[in-house]
Amino acid sequence: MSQTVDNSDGHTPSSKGDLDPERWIQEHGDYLFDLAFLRLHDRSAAEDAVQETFLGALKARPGFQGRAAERTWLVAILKRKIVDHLRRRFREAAPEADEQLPDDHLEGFQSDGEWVGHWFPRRGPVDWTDNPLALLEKKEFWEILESCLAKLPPRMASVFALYEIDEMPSEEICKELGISPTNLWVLLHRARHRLRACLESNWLGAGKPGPK
Amino acid sequence: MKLLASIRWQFILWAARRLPPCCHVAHRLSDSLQERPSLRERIVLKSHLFVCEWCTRYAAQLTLVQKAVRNRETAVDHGLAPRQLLSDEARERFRRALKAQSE
Repeated sequence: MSQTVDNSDGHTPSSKGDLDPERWIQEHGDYLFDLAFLRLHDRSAAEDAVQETFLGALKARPGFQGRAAERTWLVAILKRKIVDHLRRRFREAAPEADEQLPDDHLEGFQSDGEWVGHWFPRRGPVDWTDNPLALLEKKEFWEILESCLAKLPPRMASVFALYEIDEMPSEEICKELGISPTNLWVLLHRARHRLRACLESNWLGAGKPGPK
Repeated sequence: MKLLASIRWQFILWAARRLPPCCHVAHRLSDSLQERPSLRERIVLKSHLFVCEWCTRYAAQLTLVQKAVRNRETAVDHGLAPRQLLSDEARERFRRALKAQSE
């Protein structure tokens, strides 16, 4: 479990004795898997990405400046693996069906009639709470958010995670995944729309009538 | 009082017919989390929100969702949000693969 410190640049290879893959799995395995799962939305793909990360790290034989640096370094490798995986997925898989739908076909909106494109009466967004920030202190909120994130279609979930969590610039996402800026904005909007509706129907809006 | 409520409702209906529909506003509200809308668009959005309680809530809720997702990692660290965990099978597979490569 000993760990030597390489003060040169933090990235140069040191002796193989520094590397302790068993400790990597114990200390970083769950963290890296959670990170990969949120972006890839697929258990087996996330496991593969983490395994490739460990193997890549072992091959690169880095010197560490401490365990914090070690995790940062592993995360950097993993994020590259994730983008590689997503690049392939976006090139191979056809867009999901609801990416093509017009806005007035999204959940909650009327798709025909006099008020086409407006919220359905009594099905528009309800008042969640007087103190929205207090929601973020509730375990239940996070559990439901997690289940709502898991329900997003894969392409939508991946783009949403790259943009909102990794704060990857939109130009870079478009370039890496081969999608147009319009497509990206549609995916982001659909993801937010679904998450909001999911949170509302699963907890926050339960039993509350709409304003009109 | 009833007369005032009726006038207010008639005004909302009149305005709603002249402004972009809620689905368009919802999309633009989402886009505005990425990029500040033009002055013209901001005026249209504000006008719609002035008469539409639903879209006003929608705007606030989208911001809350964004804030939550961006703070997920902190919530995980504080034990509020659940973390996805590796399966025992995957751990074992990693051990074997790493062992094979280090030999």
